[in-house]
Amino acid sequence: MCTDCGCGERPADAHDHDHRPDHGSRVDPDGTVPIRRRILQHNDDLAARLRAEFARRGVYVVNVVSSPGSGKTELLQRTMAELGSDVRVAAVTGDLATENDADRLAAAGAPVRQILTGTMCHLEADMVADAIADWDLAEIDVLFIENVGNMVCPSGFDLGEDLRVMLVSTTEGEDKPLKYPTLTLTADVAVISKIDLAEPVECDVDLLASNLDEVRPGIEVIRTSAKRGDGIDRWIELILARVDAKAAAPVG
Amino acid sequence: MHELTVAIQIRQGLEIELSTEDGVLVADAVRVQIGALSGIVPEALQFAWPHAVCDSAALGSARLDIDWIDVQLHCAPCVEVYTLAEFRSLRCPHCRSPDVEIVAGDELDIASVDVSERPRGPA
Repeated sequence: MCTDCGCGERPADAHDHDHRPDHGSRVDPDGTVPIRRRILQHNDDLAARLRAEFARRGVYVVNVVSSPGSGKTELLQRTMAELGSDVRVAAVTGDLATENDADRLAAAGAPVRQILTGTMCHLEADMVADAIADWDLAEIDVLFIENVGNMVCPSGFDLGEDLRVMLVSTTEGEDKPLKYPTLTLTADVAVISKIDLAEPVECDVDLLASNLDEVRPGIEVIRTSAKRGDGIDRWIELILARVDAKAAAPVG
Repeated sequence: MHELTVAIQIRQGLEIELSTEDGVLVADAVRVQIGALSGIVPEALQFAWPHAVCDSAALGSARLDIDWIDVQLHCAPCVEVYTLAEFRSLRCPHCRSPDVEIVAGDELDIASVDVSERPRGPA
């Protein structure tokens, strides 16, 4: 029996609750119906299905999250160009408007899809599922998801990714990780971007890195300049190591 | 900033939970638990709520009650749970150890619904 809702549908306790409960809702004598349901359960369930599908098809998925203008597209452009010789890459990119990012990312020749969110401030799992619906995942080794530029909203939405990368640029100020602790908390890796600009904008990169470590002790921090090339080798190495580790791990 | 999305998700989840074979239970109040780490601003969620449910048979007149949950960290070296007024770091506020675990504050859950009417009509 499902321990979540009490129905007899499946033995697991983690099934999709988007079914009409034939057992009826239990109303306590005081008129209260106890509900045990995560608010974002629909997204979480879909993300879990995406994650399983990515695992089955051998796709490693990276969700890149940052403020607008931190350099997500620039980093991904460089990353896809460098990785492209070793593995098959693809990207989906979310923006409120324009296909500019997709055009930039597609320059290297990899499959790219733009998700236009209109007024939505983040990507959700169903948007990713729709965007990649007609792709043959067997042809992709690494899928990059460039989230909508936003330091708050994307943190609550699982997209089925293996790695969540938080990007923070030297031009945003050293205390950015302290101002947005929730996102910092959900990130697996932090990338500091635009270190070539650290000097002119008087950014103390060590302080920025230690602020990341303050919120999330032990988080790996990579210092990069996608324009100049600093740190890109380490970043690529990290992705390839994670891709290999996932490939070696048993599916399911 | 995505409180309207969250309000709509609460509605969609509850319309499933409140539907019965006889129709739909009509809610007077909905209780949710929102942790400080959720990124949700309670006032913004309250503002969004009536817009998300105005045309819902089950929830159209339901009040939203928000239980705000502070972040609590369990520190292994201190063997103590600390409640944080504001989350700043995944370190113990007392001994600074990173060997801590979040035990509360990441909730984004529907807890319960108060209903007065028995099932009426389709959802």
